[in-house]
Amino acid sequence: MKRPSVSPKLCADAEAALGQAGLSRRELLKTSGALIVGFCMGAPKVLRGQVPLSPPLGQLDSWITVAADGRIIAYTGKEELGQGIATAQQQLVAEELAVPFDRVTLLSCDTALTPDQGHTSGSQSHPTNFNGNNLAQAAATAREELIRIAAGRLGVPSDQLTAANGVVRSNTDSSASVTYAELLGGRVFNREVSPTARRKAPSEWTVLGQSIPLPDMSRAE
Amino acid sequence: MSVFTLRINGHSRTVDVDPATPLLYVLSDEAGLRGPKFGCGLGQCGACTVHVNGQAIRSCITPLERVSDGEITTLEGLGTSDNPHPLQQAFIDEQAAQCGFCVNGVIMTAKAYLDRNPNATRAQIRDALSNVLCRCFTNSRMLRAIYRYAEEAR
Ligand code: FES
Ligand code: FES
Repeated sequence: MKRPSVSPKLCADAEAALGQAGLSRRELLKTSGALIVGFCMGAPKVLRGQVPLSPPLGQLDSWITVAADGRIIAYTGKEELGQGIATAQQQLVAEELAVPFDRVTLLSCDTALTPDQGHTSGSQSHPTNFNGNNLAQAAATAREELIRIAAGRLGVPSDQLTAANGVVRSNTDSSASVTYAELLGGRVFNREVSPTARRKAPSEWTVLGQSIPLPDMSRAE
Repeated sequence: MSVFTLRINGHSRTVDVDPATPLLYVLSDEAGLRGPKFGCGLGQCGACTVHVNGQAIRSCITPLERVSDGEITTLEGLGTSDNPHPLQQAFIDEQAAQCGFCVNGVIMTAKAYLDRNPNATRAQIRDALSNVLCRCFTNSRMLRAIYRYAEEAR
């Protein structure tokens, strides 16, 4: 028996139809593996020069999801090779989103789910994902977006709100607070990564800069 | 093909192989021991190092028949994940690996050397490790781990 091919292939009219339906690539992949075939009148063809279905770099939902229970799922195209980049990226997302390290799940290099960031090589993963764009900027955008939504929900201006430990709270009235899960759990941001979202300064760091052992170089004590 | 009864990590194991088969292949394919790694297959990198009667040898270029009478120890014979050897623990404490491919050779070479030379100086340890290659350049962390073990064991 022939096994189904690993990477999903879309024919041109399937792409167009799904685009009209407003489905994101990730939603599409989760729900409609079989559906795609139905759109294709002829033989499916791979769109030339395109990596099929990698989530677009400019979209916040390509990088960050707030799960229903408030956990943060982060998606990256830079792979762990023992150099510690998975740990570092998990720290980065935890830091910018103001959640504990353990509350971030990092998914690496699944071509259907994560942004296509090319090779992991040449010491380029930190410059790519920690400098002023990509994963770092997405995580900062996500924090600002959660605060913006919270402002509407709580009736408190954004500049009087602080995000910490997965909760957005008023600086002046500590009873005014709302969790990430309540704000966006299980739903999408549906916006672009903001080039102006504020990255945290090193002086504010609590998770970045900590030395966290590699997951496969530690053992239960 | 010939039948050999080997002593590996304190257990007996009978294999039926060509006597010229490299020890590394027998350990990996017959005994399922994947601690020793195939790096170069030419005796140049050290990734395949195991002990025969306490001596570090490069198993990729060692025909089985040459060592079939010896007591063979692989990385698995040193310690386990739950109960690592102090030298392995020193590697964990120093986070002394990147990809980890060379670590078998580094640990097995250092262990055999320090068993015979427990009072070796740091310079001597560095010398003893100089022909074990690490493609990831994790050498300084690994040397820290080895010094730590050597100095704590004294
Ligand atoms: S694999 Fe044996 S020395 Fe390189
Ligand atoms: S840690 Fe990769 S070769 Fe040494």
